Amino acid sequence: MHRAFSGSTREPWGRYAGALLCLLTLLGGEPSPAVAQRFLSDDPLWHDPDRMDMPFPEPTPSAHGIGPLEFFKRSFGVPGDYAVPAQNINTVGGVPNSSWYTNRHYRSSLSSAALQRGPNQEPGPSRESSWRVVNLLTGGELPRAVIRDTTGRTFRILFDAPAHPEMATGAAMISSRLLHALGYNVPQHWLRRVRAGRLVPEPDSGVTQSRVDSLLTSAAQRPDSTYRALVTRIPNVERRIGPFRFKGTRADDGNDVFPHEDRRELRGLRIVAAWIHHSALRPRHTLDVGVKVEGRRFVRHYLTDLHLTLGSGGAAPKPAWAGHEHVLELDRVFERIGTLGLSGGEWAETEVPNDSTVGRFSASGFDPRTWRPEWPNLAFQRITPTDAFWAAKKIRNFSRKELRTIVATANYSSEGVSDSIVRTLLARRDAIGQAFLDWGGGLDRFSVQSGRLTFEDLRAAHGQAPDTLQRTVEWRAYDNRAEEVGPVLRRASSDRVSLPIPRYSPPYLRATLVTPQAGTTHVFVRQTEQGRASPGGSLRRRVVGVERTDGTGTQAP
Amino acid sequence: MLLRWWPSSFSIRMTTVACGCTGRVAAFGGALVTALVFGLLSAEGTARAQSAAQPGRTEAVADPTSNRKAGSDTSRAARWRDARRRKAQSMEAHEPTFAQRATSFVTNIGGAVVPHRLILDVPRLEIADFHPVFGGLSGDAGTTAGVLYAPTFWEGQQRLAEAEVLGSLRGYYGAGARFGGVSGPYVGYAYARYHHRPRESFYGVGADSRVDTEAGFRLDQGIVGGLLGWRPRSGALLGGHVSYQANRYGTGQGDRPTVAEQFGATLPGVGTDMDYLMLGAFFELDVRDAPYTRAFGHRFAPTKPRLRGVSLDASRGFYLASEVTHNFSMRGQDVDFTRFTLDVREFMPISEGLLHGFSFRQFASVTHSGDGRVPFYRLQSVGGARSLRGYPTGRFRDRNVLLANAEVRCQIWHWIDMAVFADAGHVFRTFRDVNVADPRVGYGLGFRIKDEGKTLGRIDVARGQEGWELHLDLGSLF
Repeated sequence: MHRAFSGSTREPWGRYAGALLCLLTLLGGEPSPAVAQRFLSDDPLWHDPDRMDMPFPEPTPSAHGIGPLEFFKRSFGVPGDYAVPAQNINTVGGVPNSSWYTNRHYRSSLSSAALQRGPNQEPGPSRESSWRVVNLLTGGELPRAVIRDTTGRTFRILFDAPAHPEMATGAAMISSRLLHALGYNVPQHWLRRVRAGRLVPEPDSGVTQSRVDSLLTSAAQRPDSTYRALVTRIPNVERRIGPFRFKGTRADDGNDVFPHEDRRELRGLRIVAAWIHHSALRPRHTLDVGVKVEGRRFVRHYLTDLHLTLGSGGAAPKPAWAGHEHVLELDRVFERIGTLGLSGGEWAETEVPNDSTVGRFSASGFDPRTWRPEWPNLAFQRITPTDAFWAAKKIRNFSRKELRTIVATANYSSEGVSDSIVRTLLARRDAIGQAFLDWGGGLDRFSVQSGRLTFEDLRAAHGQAPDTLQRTVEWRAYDNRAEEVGPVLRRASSDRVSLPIPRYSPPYLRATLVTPQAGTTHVFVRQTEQGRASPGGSLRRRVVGVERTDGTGTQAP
Repeated sequence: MLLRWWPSSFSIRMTTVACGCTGRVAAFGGALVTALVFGLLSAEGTARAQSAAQPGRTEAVADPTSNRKAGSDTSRAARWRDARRRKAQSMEAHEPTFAQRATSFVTNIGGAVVPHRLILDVPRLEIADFHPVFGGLSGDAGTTAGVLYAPTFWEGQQRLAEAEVLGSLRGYYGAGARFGGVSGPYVGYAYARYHHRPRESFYGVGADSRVDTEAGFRLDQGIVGGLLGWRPRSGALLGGHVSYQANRYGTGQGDRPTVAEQFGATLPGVGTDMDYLMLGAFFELDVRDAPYTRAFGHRFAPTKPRLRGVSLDASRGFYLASEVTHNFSMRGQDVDFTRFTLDVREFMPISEGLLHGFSFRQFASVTHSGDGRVPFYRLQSVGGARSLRGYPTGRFRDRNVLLANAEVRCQIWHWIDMAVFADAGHVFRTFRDVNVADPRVGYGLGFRIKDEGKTLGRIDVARGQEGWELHLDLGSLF
């Protein structure tokens, strides 16, 4: 066991200090009722109880977003102290499952079939019978409508623009699978090939056949006279409430207690949005819906309009500035006026291929650190390195094969388009890994197995750092009530990803892993109830806390 | 937050830990006691500071193994659940602010710009396919608004049906209707239009006219006709049109002298009504890098403002339109004439940063009337937002016109382009009168509001030999 370590050890002093700490702890007797403690009995919490039965909030306007004052404040305001940790996280830095988020692909790998299926839980609309058009949607640039199939379920359909066949529908199919695998709520997405005669107006809906025909004239038609339709549906909807905001909480939703700007999944969405180039993301492309599950009414929060991702801007490719600037940056405007456009737009000098099917989606000129959405939002502005690490590790986890599987769901008519998108996703994924995985040393997936602390070096796993890197490991006892650490029990250095846990009896131990020129990760392990009850000192422990910093060690006794 | 996890006492302990063994024990014990005391204080303070509804991950919470409150606060899930219960008891209905309501209203408005008209789609204001419309009256109409009816049963990219009623703050008003469609390589549409223009300006005929001889007149003009076109290849259009035009001359509003007072009652067109049958043929070639079908129904029209106002955004390629139209007088007056026009626009990209490149336009119009006369209000003119920008609208009139515009354009914002421009224009009766020293020159700076490849509106500030001019206009010049 000890051959795994090299360098100095402080076993005698550590053993002495550990024993002393135990003695002091015992002398302390039963804890005072008012004593604070860091770790509670159910930590780390993986299920946020935010699906309690609550009255549905009243619907809000569909374009409900930031007001002009808020927009100017975010665009031109002096940034405040944003180094506030996310609030809805558990003690290991994860995001518990909630009405916003569900841990999926990273926590346990999804199968190829599950990745392909994505958010789809129900069968899609009937392939055989006609679809009755209930409503023609006028918002947006692409032809869209609400239809009802023979089962009585309603769906939303969307077609590509004639000049860009497969662009918007393909982007939506891919991004829906990616976002779903990453844990976000997205509508179910299907691709269907339909003939014009299949769409008929719903009686008494006000929709006429000529309007349906008119809808199709503005849609991309395939060589075989069919139309490629993207069909979406959110299941179990009792009430469409409206978009959610990236700031504050809803006053009329009892389950909504964490300010949205302090939700890790919304902060981390900035990195995800950078990956899939969802620069159009803002409240109007989100949706809160009231659902009823097992008799409980609560709000579920969705990301919608995914046809605006990757290179697609809807009816046209994304503008070249997307991802590089907010909609209004006055200093750049004045710079361009003063130089007649010769300066103030570095992105314009980067050649990004503008394919009619892919749109404008490339890894060229992509910097995940500086990528920004068109519309500033507070959650993205408040992202911390820890939030970014959380998102980056999930993105970096996608393999080439998995991305191929997901891109295949877009069913592009050209293999070259699929290849191009996979290549771009891989390159942007790698850029994100390089940018954010260093945090805390890039260590994750901590667990206790057979009396050893095991973990994964993500940087080594993804080829960003050698797997022979020596890191310093330091063990201390930890007082959960006082939130204090004791003296060093053991210190060593190792390149292993499986470390022996010192044989001391304190209920909590803290391991500090310092990775040179990368960062520090503190791991807290707790003696479980079973461990305490077991005779003969056979200690059973589990990881209850993980904390990452960029320092090279917070203390050096 | 990190600091809250590491109490201040911790640093004291860390500085003393290097002492001897006894010292270590003493220091450690002291530190522990200090930590407990600080922890207690911190816990109480934190508990007080917690908002009623927001659970903090690191807030002071009870030890789950303690018997502080049996059955409550024993787990993080319970804490989070309690926070929600507390909020549920004090929930209030969500009321969007005025700014949010206004933002919602504005962002739901759609719209389209066809040359010199802005047509809005306002979901909450639309009643039975009616839309607010801005612009659309020619001449010195000024700020114009109205209502446009576009029946949804005929909407689509391949067909057009609309009728409109317009009025302006300067007392101009008008009505119009267009109906047409595209079938394969053929395009056809019918149009009818009436404009009441009570404050038109006339400065005299020829390049030597003076600005201080401005006269006012009123013109009521109606036109009805149809156009057929054939597209032999992508980007080309060949066709013809027939129209009937009625012109009613009158005294203009305001305290300006009348045309008769200023220039004499014998000037062609003064005091007489004139009707024309117009027969024309045209050819158009558009090889710009702008979508060809974007402005169906307005890509070509026999009426002058539309011909000049094809509002597409291009940075490469060229556009050419030529037309010949013969005007037969329908009242037996000797005022027949034939007019030839040529409009060429070139776009030369630079692709240096956001500098789009150069844009050039050359416009020539030649009127042949034999010995006949041409009503002064049917003379070609230069001056104004759509031709020679350093001069007022219709500043120079004569039978023939040469006009050149040059712009260098760059993008300064995602939806705004800036242009530095120079214009030169000349009017003359015969080619013998052309003098290279005569052309009037203007230059200036402009800003264009753009969306999806179209110019929605523009502001041009121009300097001519007679002073500064500010032009606000919908659509692009070229």
